[in-house]
Amino acid sequence: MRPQEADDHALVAACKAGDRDAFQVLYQRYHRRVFAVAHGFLRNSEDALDVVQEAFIKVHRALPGFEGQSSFYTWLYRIVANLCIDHLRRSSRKRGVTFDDRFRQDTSEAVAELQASSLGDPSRAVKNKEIVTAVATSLTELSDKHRAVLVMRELEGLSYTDMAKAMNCSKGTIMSRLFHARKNMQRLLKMRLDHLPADVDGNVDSMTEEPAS
Amino acid sequence: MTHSIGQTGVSAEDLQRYFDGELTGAQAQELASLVDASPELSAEIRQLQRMGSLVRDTLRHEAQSIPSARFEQVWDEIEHAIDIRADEREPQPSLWARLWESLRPARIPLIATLGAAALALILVRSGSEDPEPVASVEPPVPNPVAVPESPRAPVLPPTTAEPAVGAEIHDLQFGGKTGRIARTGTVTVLYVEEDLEPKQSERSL
Repeated sequence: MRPQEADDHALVAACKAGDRDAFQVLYQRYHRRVFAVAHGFLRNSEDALDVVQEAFIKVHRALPGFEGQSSFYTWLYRIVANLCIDHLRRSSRKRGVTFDDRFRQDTSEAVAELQASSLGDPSRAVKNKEIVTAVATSLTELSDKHRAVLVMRELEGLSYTDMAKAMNCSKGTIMSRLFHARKNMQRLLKMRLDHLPADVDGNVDSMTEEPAS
Repeated sequence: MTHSIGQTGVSAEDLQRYFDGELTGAQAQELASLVDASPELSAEIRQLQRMGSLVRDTLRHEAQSIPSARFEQVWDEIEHAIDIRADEREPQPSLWARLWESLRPARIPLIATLGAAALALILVRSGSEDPEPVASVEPPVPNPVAVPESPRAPVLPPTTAEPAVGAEIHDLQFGGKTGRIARTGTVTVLYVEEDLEPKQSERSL
């Protein structure tokens, strides 16, 4: 079996035996996913790339002790989340002050993909672009803690218990943070997307509607 | 603080827990029935789904927008860090071992030079010094005449010659006196003292 086709378990075993190629396959398999998590937490491409690098170095060091009780990715994800949380704790960045120009460019590239799937419909493409920009900017404006729980939940589907362990707080705190993070996200998106017509994709307006309370 | 959704009597927190799969079986079933029956709750669930989908898609798009070359650079850094750690784990050779290794190209000429210098030094030193007398190995000679030391024994004059092996001493000078030692197995030694009252002693050897 070629390394690219091997499952994670076999690759981990090969890594433990000193197979550098196997470790590279694991990196190639997960680096973008890890980056997505890190970027979701940190909202800065270079910081996220640093976390990717640090996470894989840490994984390589800890592999001999990895017993496979959880999946490799779950284990990797925990390491990444912890690194991001540590980074946020150390960080003195102020919310809403910094905006990564690289990220702005990245967002445009991401929008280009959406435009390609819009079948040439200009109004739809414009709306998709605005949606992606609005989501990205709104994520950046959330507090670190709210963004962290939102990313952990929406991107990776972590349980409240796992999130509580990662963030070293109670399950109730996680539930509360997630609730307020979603509320704030809805508010920010509504603020940015309220002017868009409702008939494109049918998503934006319903998403940004304030829920009845 | 509880946020009730419309007239449903269901709190926003409970609906979120239901949406996130955090409710237990009975509670989850009860809420599922309420959501099915209430357009308001169904709309709320759809909003949560759409927001999750948008966040997920946006984060994935951002990750896809990073060029592969940038991730290859990161991999190079990772490999570099792994190599450094591997080097650190290997035992470092001692200072002498590293010096010896660094001298590997000059090792043979250096040894030859040092050897030649040492040889030359030995030759020079041996040429400048007097030759040491060659020690002659002589068989142990039993001294037929043993003169035990005695604090009262007179100092023999230097004229007294050592007896040769097997020789009979017929004439010894002791302070001007004469004596004789016979080879009969018993040697008689005469001690002569210069006291006013000289006394004689005998000792069998």
